[in-house]
Amino acid sequence: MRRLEKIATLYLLCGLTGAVGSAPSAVPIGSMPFVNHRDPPPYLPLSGPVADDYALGHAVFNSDFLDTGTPGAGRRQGLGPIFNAASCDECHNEGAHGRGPIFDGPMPNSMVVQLELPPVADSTAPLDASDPPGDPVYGHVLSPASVAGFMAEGEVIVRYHVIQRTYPDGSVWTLRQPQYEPTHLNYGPLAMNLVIKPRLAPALFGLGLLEAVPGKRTPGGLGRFGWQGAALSIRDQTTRALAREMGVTSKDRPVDDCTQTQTQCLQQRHPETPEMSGELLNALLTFEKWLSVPQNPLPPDPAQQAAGLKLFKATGCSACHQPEQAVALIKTDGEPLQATIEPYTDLAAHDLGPGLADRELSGAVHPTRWRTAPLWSMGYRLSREKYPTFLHDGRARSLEEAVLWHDGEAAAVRERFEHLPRAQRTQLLRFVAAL
Amino acid sequence: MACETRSDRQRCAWLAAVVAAATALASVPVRAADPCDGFTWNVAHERALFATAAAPVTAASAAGPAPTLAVDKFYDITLTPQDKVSFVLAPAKKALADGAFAGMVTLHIPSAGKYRVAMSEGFWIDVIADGKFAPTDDFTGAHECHAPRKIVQYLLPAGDLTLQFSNTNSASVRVTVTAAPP
Repeated sequence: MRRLEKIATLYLLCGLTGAVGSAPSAVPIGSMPFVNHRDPPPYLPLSGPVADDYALGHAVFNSDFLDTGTPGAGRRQGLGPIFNAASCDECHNEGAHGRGPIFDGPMPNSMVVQLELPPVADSTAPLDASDPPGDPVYGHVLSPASVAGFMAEGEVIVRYHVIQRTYPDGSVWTLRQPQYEPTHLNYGPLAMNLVIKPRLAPALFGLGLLEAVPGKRTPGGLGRFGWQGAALSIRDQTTRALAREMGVTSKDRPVDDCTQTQTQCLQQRHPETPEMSGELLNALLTFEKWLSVPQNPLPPDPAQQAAGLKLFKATGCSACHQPEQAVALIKTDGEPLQATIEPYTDLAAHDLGPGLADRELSGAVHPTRWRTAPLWSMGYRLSREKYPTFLHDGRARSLEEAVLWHDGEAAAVRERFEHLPRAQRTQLLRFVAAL
Repeated sequence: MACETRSDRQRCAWLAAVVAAATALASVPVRAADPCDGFTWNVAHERALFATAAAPVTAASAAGPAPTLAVDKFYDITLTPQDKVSFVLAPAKKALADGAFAGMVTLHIPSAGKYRVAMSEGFWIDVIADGKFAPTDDFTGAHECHAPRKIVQYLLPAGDLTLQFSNTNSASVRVTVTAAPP
């Protein structure tokens, strides 16, 4: 009871109770203190079946799944037979951002290597841009793990080369350029024109709020989830990851990432019986939908943040990392709620230049658009990670490096950043680090 | 992209280096993978202990007396179905426990400091000191490796602490406790 009172007080302090009706809330919603990171709160008070589903979904999210037929495995059956991780939590620890590579070596568990076969130039076949074809042998994801009796597909080694340049004021900056080397391939070679797409697990905080931003779609008419905004909804993104990264099928995606050439893997297919039940899937989606955004545990000085925001806007960062979005929500009692959130994204996809673009195995650049990464919860993230890495593949070891990788549509903004006096560059980066 | 201005020329040179590096990747030879290569820490000490003979231990299934683990020893711990275990504190990680095994041992910590608990399986573990969860400092793991599979680092006080295993479907787990390297 004491805990419920505490939570109610937090929501009151966050100004939520007055945020009902058609007028947007003056106080942005979504951000909550994470008193215990293993007990992440929802962004609105939940009650009844929704609260029960949130708790169950959190447990599903954290649970390691097991090989089908494991004695006593009950609801946790269905892992693999090939997979990248055994649970959602393994990559998105309690909803948080995954850990990227620190040094050269095998990709860490919280990264997944997606595979994409580029379209044939003269093909007239319609292309589903939200779900392009994978490798004909390895499928959409290169799975580094398998259940007993099956062969994992292989793994990817990352090696970095340091690039050094100088700011106009003479100070030096460095970036590390990754090279990805597929290795230990158990099903034969990969096609040289295959696109290797390493992806670091993004944070899942506030997904339901991003989904509630009305009307926004990327220029390609795609979705708003995932590094490229390819997934149309939380449900789409979640069931896709369950099937392809854990090998757990659902009603929405009744087959996992086995291809026609992986005959042993195919024998495990039972599309008529989803491995994750509808009850557990709905609970998992409820958890993801209502998961809030953690506040910075070290609240920054408001005056410094105001000055930082001004600089952020003047430099042009806010053109894509838009500080505010309006959301249209439905509370659990059915009442509508118009409010604002502060995700620092426009939810749109942009070309950030060939340096960041995915590449084919041959080295050829694959045109790539990136959904503007939300910057909210950065302060929480930096308070918890010893070696944070940024961007889609964790190549950036600092926010500064992440900014310096921006090119393409963001080239002019990056150049403005480079030309700022050092003190202002520091001020801008501190502002982002405190969000 | 034209390479006319100074900043454009800089960017072109940078992109040329990027393209050259990525092109070189196609000719890199394939190597055999060691499933225990994936740790981001130096785990040589743990790997050496896991190569020794493990002492058999049966974990407690309720609060009270439990077998004691010492630092720098290697143990093979037998566990109990989780639905039959009464924990000292409910596991900090909320998870489905269908078919999971669990148990408790006492951890003898000679002096306060950072310690690593290494396990052959991916159990969720909690260390309890003075009735509270001891804070974790860091963790690492390697999926296909079982010697060890997972390592969690804690900042621990000296004394006899409780180590709880939960949420994984293995009836036993091999474990070492070591002082973290400085």
